[in-house]
Amino acid sequence: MSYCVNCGVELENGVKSCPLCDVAVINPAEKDKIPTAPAYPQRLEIPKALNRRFIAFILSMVLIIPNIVVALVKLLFVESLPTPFIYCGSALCWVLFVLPLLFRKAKPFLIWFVDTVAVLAATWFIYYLVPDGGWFIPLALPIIFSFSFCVGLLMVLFGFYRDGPIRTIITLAVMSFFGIILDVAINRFVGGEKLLGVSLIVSACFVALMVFFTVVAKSRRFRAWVTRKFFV
Amino acid sequence: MAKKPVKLKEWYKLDNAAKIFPGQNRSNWSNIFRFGVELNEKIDSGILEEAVRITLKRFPCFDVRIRRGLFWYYLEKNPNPAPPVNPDVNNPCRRVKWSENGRFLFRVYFYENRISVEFYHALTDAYGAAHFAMTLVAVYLRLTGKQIPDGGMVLDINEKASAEELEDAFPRFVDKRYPAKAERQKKFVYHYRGTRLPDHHVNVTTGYIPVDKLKEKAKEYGVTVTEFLAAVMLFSIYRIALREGKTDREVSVQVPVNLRNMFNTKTLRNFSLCYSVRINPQKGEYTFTEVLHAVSHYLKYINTEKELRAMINGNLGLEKNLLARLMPLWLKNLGINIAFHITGEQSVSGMVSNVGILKCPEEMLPYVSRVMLMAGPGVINGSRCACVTWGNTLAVTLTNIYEQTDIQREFFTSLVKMKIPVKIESNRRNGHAETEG
Repeated sequence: MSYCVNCGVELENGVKSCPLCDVAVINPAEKDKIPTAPAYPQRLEIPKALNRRFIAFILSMVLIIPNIVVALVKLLFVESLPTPFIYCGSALCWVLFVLPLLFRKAKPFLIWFVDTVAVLAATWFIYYLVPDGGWFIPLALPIIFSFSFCVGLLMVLFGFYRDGPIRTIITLAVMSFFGIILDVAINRFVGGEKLLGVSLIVSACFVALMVFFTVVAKSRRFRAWVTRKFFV
Repeated sequence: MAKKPVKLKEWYKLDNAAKIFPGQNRSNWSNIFRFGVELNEKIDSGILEEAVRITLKRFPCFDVRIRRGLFWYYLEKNPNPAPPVNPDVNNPCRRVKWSENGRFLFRVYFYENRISVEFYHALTDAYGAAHFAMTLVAVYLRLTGKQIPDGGMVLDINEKASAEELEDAFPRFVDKRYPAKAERQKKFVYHYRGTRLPDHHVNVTTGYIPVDKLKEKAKEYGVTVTEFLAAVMLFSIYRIALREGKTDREVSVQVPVNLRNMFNTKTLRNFSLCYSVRINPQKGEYTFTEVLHAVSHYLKYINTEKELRAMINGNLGLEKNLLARLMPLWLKNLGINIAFHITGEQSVSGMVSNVGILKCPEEMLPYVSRVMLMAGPGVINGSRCACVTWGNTLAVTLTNIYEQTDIQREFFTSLVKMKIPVKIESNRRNGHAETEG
């Protein structure tokens, strides 16, 4: 029999390293012995994963049905039915919710890029149908690009920072930034007197929260107090 | 011509403890545990299949499949004769899918000299599972020509299961004169977190300990074996929390208790409750003796009829609530799933479950070398421990879902330092957990 020189536990015959601490087991006395079968076989039984492509197929069929119904209603009864909006909405839903299921492995940045392009295309299509006011370039584009940028930035930063308070600070900062862009874009489009209004108030509140979470992140004692007072 | 009597399908409601388990079921996790019995000879799968078929007739509460009702899940007689007997795997206690395995909620494996049975917790607890596993082994040994009488946990297979064995015992012990309910522990506690293994993989380490040495040590401290092991686990997790500098949260260990010791019933279904013992690192640095006293005193305090009845009342409260009862099953499942996702194991750092000594006929002793009990891995808990004693050997099995073995190492080396010898077996090979590919 062998023992681990680090842990002091007795080990199975033939084991090459200790299962508790990975220290190598060298026992010359065991060289000539026939090793006993290990405690567990090597075979793993991994259940089959959910067939995401089958779910994607079912969801696609679910999305097709209202389009077929709407097309038939327009053809047979109500000629003025605004079907392009429904087709556009269904296509956008398909790209946002069904397309990710077709990938075998999660590809977040690819999905982010495709979703951005899909939203841009859908918005442009709606603008093509309803161009009144020329809203696409001054209003829709800045909002879509800034939102997409914020989502991408969150994805990148969350990959680096795993701490709860730090992630909260990042989220608040990004939301504040997006709020400002949204405010500026809307005020510029409607010809408002001031470019910044509500977003400043919201950002001020967010900054206060960011200061709070910075203190929580830096001070262990304060963090412990907050955890005790506000546990769920 | 006389009409044939209508044969109604046998069915059972889920017992009180089991009602939440189906709602917690996920594609990558189930509440499941395993009993492993090692014999002195290699297992014949054909004889084992026959033994399973014979034993199952004695346990109608295991011969079931789970079905959905409008308001609750229920168990119904399984039309299939018996579950298949399969070669063992390196990743025990993986998730249960109700449509697999002939729709049975327990799985039977064999490997070398070992018969293992995995039970979905909605069926039974460790006490009921022990009866099934030991009766199965006795039947197997009889089929190989050994003379094994009934007795202890080996039930008479020619006897019909009594109503008491099949009952949901929880409501029976409610006393309307004493409606007090125990409060649930909700505070989030410290959890050891390492590098997660891929889905359906698990890190299993079993330590075999001579019971006489362990009892001697426990007696030295004036505590029981369960209190001693729970204290060692709690102290191990506490020391790791100290090393990580994470002292802002309490550390706790959950200890399931067999209610049959306090309330007289022979039910083979779930009849156990869990209480958790906690220490607060904010109060100061604990020694092992202080932790042991905290565990021992708390377990002695809580393990009384009054406190246990209050816990039963608390658990039954939700089941008896009219609004909860009328809620459709899909809504209940959603609620349980969300609640489990958010709070699940958050109020418990680890678990120690000790079934105790398995009482079986002496004639079995020469043929059964070892028994092990394994709690399935937790969703976040890195330290679920289950113990069972056969002869002079206590098997302590720790399961976790992380690559690192800090808790196992801390636990077993603590015992070795107290001069308690431990022999280790694991499913890890050459220092790494087995992974697919």
